[in-house]
Amino acid sequence: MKLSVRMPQFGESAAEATVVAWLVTPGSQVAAEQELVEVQTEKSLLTVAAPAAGILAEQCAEPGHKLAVGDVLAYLEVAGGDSPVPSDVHDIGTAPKAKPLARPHRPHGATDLSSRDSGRAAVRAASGESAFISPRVRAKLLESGLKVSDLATIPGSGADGRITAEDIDHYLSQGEAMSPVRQAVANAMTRSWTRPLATIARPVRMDALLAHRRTVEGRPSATIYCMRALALALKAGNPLACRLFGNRLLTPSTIDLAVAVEITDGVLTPVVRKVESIDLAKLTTMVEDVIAKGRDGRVSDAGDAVATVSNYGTFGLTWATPIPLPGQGLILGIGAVKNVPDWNPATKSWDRARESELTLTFDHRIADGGVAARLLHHVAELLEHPEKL
Amino acid sequence: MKPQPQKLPSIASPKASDPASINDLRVRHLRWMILARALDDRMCKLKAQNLVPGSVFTGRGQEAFSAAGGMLLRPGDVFAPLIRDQAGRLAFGETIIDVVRTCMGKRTSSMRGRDGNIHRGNIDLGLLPMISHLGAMVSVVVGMLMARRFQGKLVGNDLCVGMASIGDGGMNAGALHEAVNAAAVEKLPMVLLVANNQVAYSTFNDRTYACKDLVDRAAGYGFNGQSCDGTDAAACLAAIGDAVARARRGEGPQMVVATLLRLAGHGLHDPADYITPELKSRFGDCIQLDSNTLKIQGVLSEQDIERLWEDARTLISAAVEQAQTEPDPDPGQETWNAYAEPDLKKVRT
Amino acid sequence: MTIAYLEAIRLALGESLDEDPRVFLYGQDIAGAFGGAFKVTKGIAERHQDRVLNSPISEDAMAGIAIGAALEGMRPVIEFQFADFATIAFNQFVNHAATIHWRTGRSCPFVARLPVGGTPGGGPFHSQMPESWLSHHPGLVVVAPATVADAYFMLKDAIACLDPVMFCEHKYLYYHLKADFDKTRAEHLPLGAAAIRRGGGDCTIISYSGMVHEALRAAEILSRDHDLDCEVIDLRCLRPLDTETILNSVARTGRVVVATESWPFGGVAAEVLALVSSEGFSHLDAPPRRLCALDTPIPFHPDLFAAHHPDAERIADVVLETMAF
Repeated sequence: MKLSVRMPQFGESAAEATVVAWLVTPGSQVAAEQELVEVQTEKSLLTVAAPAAGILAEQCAEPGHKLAVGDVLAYLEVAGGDSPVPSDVHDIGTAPKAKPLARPHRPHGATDLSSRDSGRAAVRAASGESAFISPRVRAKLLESGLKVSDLATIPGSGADGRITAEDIDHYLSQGEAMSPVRQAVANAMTRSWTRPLATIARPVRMDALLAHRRTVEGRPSATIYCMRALALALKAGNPLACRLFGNRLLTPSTIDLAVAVEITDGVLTPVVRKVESIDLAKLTTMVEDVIAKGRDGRVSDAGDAVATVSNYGTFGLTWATPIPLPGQGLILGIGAVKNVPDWNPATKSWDRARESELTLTFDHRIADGGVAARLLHHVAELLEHPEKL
Repeated sequence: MKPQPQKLPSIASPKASDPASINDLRVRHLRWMILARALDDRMCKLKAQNLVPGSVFTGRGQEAFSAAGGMLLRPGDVFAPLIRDQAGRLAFGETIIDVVRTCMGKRTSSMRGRDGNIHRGNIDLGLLPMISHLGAMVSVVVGMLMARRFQGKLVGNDLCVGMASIGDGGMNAGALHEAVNAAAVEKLPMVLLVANNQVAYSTFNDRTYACKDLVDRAAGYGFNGQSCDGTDAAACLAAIGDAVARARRGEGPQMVVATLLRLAGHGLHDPADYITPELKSRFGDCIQLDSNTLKIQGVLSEQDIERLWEDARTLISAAVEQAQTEPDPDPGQETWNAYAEPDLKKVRT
Repeated sequence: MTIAYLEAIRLALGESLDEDPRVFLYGQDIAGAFGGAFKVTKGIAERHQDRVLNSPISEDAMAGIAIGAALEGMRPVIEFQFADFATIAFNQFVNHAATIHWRTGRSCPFVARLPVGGTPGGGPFHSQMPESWLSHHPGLVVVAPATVADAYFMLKDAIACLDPVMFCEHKYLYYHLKADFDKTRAEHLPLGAAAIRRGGGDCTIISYSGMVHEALRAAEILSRDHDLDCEVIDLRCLRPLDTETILNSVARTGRVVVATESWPFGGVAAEVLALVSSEGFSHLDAPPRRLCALDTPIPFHPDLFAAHHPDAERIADVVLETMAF
């Protein structure tokens, strides 16, 4: 069976590379991954290795010759047909559409661009000397999100090893389909990302909070404290306590907050209403309740909440920039608690203090950094004085 | 100076012997001539005011012949006019408002702004909307008459008539020859009016045909032919009246050739400086001549004639005023569809 | 019952005369026992002497008469002895018939029967294909039946159509194409629809009129010798084009070859390629190709004539080139 060795994509921008020297002569036995040929890109001298063990059947380019990414460098004769074929080579021996011309060219074609050579030369020239990508394949790339550079890793079954739309379908069919939940999150994040988002952050002392939670029924988590603090800070009249529709800023009468919960293959954001009027203990049970409902698939959307709280500290992270949901203008994140040295002027020694990072990502169309900073400081101040919550 | 007609025309009409009826006919004839001339004048003014796209083609000097043709037709007949047949069109039933609308290209016109000026028509009325190749209109009249024969409508001795107008220029189009020949072969009640106005645009008769007189061709085609002085209103009524009557009686196709002079350019854009003073001196203005005759004969007074002009101008002004308030066609509202079938993929018997 | 293409036309004409008093036939030498240069009206002319009329050699007048009669409520069918002579009626067709509906809102329903296409020895003035210049003009419907059933059904549908229909009937098929025909069972597509004569996924071969049979033969060769599965589309109606069927097929195959008996420049094949290139570009795996007659007048000698227009083998060659691209 014959395998082609193609010019790899060396880096995102490289379109072509020049053959410098062949390291193996035709007819030689080569081992898998054995270096075959040196090529020079604009940036560096690199080598191309054999995709499989076999005999170097043909060198397709002489030193000094420039090849486009994806063009055939060499053919390897490999034993058998059932050895796994590496993804960057393809089998031209079974190409169903590569048919020899049965008859010489006739004058009828001359009325059109039908001379095989001239027709193809014209198309190649127009596509910038690189390997031909048919309009159908190009449309398929656009639809699938693959890039031209990805083609080098797809085996081609068309004429001269050209990649067909079916080859792309086949390549993609080997992947796994996104789950509906993953798809929904992906769509929401893409929509969200179309806005100008900014992230600000500051540390917050957690000692008081950690002590306070032991006094409260249900031992509320940092998430509960953050929700409560954010609700009170927003209710105090911060301009970020609103939702943007077109060019209209709507301020909800109650502070409804979503909470980010990880589930298999996605994130749920169930909503708790009127957080500003619920105490910590009650909020703890309510959040547990909505999370349980969310996991059962009984709560659908968080689109109408004003903000979301995400405790990425549960993953051991100290800092992150969560993305607000499409219908919301901000998301508050809190990182894992870490020990920090704290200078005690009374004892003139370093004490242990506990601290988390608070991050706030907001829609910059609604407000500017100052407004966001005041909100974040207010939240931090409330968390450091949990008795106010 | 042309000789005045010596006697009243003997037109074929049930009341031909009644002088009052004949005088009434001649007054109506003059009225159409004056209305057409006044309308042509007004269209030229509208062009100068830039209210009319395209050129303006007038029938100046040809009104007597044209109006006689239109008048002698009746509802149910077919008329394929010449570009200078404003008078005949009006007499056949075209409305002044549609003339103004069409020349202005208004959405309300019979052609909806898709076509304009002299290409207007109303097929329901039997008034064919011409294409520029006038010779091509004649076979369409032949086809319409053949259709009526197939439908059993061409029986008796009072047939409907198909009238086609052509000029000395159009007489040399191949299409005209084919159509006239076919009309004769089918022995149809067709009347071909040939207005020999001496020039095909700027080319004189000596370069457009070589027979002695265009009416000589009638015999060659198998038409009954006659000639008349196209500047003499009564002669036009008499000749066309006779031809139409013969056609109605089933005597087959008729040709009437009028000798006259185009008293204007080919269109408003043409100063017609190729018409020599000598040529002009040989032809009178049919409207002036007829007005004089009717005055001399005591049929109309000077005031009566002035009234005809005033009435014409009043009617035209009202139409112009109305048309100006009407909408132009809107490209956004157009169907941009040239087919009568809404969907060929649904045509299945 | 096996009948020839010409007999299908005769059947449609005879039935139309029988069923519809608006229908009349007008053309050169069609009346009486003579029955036309190709004998299309033989038999029916004698049955309907009042509505099958000989015309003078006056193609312009024939077309003008058809227009006039159509405007008066008739359904004229005019026969041209050869499509080549329809040039004389060009003005009536394109300036008159084609513009009437647009200008006046009135329909102008008539059928011009145009015997088209080449036969050996026909030469430059008895072999031409007029569909390209006719279809250029908005307002004309141009059809070209390729089968016995279509010759019958499309003529009846053309007579029923409200627009002027240029009915291009292929002279070679007149007597050479015979098929079992039962009008109660045969496939009857609407006038404006293209037909898929053979399904396939590798390459679309588009054709019409006599060339459809070469395209089908080419598909056979390609299947037998090259294991290729070609889709063959018979356009049937050239104006307006059934763009949907064309684009859907190219979307399936990614490759297209148009084969016509006409000249290449500004022709129906060019129009189909323009459609595919501009509206179906993202379906294409290879440049769309056309195979037309050679770009000279049509030669007289049978050997020159045979070389002048495409045949199945040449179509197969171009399909192979397209597949190899």
